[in-house]
Amino acid sequence: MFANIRSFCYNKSKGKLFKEGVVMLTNETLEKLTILADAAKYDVSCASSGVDRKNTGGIGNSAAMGICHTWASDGRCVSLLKVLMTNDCVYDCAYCINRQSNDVKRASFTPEEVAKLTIEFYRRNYIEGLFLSSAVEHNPNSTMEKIVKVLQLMRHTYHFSGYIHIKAIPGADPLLIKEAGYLADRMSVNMELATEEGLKLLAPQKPLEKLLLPMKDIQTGIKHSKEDKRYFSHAPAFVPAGQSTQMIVGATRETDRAILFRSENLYQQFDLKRVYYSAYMPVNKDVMLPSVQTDPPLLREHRLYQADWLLRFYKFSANEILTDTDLNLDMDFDPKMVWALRNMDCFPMEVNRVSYKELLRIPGVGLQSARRIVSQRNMKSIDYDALKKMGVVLKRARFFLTCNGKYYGDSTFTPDYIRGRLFDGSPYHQMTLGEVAG
Amino acid sequence: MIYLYDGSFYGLLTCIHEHYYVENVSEIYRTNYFMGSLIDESKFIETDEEKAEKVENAIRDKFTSVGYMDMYRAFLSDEINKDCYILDYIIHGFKIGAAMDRLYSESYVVKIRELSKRVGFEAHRFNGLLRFVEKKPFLYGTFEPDNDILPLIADHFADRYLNERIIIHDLKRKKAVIAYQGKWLVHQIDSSHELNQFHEEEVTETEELLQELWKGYFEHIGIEGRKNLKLQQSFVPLKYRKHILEFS
Repeated sequence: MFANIRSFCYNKSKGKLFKEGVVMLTNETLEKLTILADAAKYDVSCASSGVDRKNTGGIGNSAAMGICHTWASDGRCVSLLKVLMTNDCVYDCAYCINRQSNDVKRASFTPEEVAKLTIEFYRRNYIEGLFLSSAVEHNPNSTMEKIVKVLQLMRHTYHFSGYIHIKAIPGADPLLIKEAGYLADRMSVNMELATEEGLKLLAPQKPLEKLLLPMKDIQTGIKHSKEDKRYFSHAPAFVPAGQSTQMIVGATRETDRAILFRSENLYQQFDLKRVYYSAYMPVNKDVMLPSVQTDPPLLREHRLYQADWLLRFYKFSANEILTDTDLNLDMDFDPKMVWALRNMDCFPMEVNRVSYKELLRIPGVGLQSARRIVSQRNMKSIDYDALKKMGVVLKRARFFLTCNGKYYGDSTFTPDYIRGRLFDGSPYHQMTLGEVAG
Repeated sequence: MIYLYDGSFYGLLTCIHEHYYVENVSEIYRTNYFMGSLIDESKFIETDEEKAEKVENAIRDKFTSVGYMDMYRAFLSDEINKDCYILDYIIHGFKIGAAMDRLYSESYVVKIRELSKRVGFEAHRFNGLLRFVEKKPFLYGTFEPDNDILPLIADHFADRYLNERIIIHDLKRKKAVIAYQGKWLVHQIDSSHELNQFHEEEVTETEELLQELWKGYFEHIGIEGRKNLKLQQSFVPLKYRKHILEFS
């Protein structure tokens, strides 16, 4: 039986795709890999989503929903092989572990090594693709050239159809960025800090305009390629999974307001797919930075992501999430709840009547449950039990909706009361034995 | 009346056929999961391809493709009562047709969607969690999933490794998918099968180096200051770790 299978495979075997022995992976590679993985891990993005592509004859494909391959000890997903080309940097940004003045082990990969490593990992299904970034070793152009070399090897030599995300190096020639864009799936330029003052303080070698320039280039490239696609179906796609960026939270005194408005601006002005937020990990000692003992502001990062989701999927504007007087997001409640408590005049909403857009404003109702409500209610009215089955989080939602006219919250409909009820039972303080006796 | 069948998809569809053309049935079970009943009589239904195809076509005709896939994925689940749920789902589906897709609170759809979601989620998970070992000339992957997800993941891997010869071995169900050039077939692997010896074969030195590379990378990619093993475990449950290189 098994022999049959072997012959079944051999009969159709055509020429080998991978020339073996061109690049050897050795124990030295292991050392480099660990150094450069350590140097790359503070980059947040690991998405492999946004492109649906079948195998084009070599190796690999790409699924639109993205695939996570494992989860690291910090609970973050590992989907792409996230490495730096080199961690030897001419810049001296205060927040960065690879800054020039830091005494860390330095290492560099050759483009051939990176390509070979990616393919071998990919064949064993360890990873979904490659996320290649780099420190600036000599100058932006030579760094970008190396990245483009990796892209060419992956796409033309190995015929790789999987996912590749690369960093556009600010200051590199637009032609190099353009060449990279036609080979990569996603490109990103890291903002790092939301305000010009922040950048001046911590990364004086990276002025804001220098960061926005490649972003604009990529945006134009995407626009043009989409335009071409309308007339020529085989026109090459430029950065088909869109561009993203990342901002550090908590390295300077920047407010959530500054960060969120910057995000909104990036989404609107540069058509970004995604902005990532990264709670600042104190890796360096510097008078301008929080002390090394500071815990990363993980809750703040979480709230910013929630607000970001409201911007992208729930059609909120930054102005609605943070009014003129708010500088920071509320740490006790999620931003949608805070908005609802501030706008009680919109509630309670009747789930059988209000529009999809209004449903999305109810705390505890998500994109999926809103879609389900709209889909079912033409056929059958929705009662309270049905909401539970549709995935609505009634713990929060019940204060803000009615089903067929009936309200399921408690008797009082004021922001303060609801706020109290959402905190575990705080307005109803249960008396302890001691209090009863006393 | 209770119908029993051999566990194959067409076996189940034959039971549905008999429900409409011979005698109404209250419950359906796979023979090896049936506990016996004091009230109802039970009868074993022989799989009949012709009858099953008739039912399959009727379902495809009446249901949407989403509705059909939900039913099929539910069939692949390890739930003991899945056959009864599917019976209920099909009976209602024949009555209301495509409109069933728009209902979200009726118990017969909720149950099937729940099973479908569970199976689909596990299949998606293993698109990422499955690990291959190079044992020339094959890429060989083993796993023990809760549900019978082989037919759901085979297409993905057959396309991904178009020019490789791959074997995905479900050790729990003693089945394996063998794929090459985009085509794949499922084999039953009984204890005398050659694949069992292949499974024991040692890996080469090059392979060991690559495994070391991956483990080394994996160790270094987590950020120490954000360590959260509980979160990690909710994504990679212990039951799967035996076959995942970096955890085993």
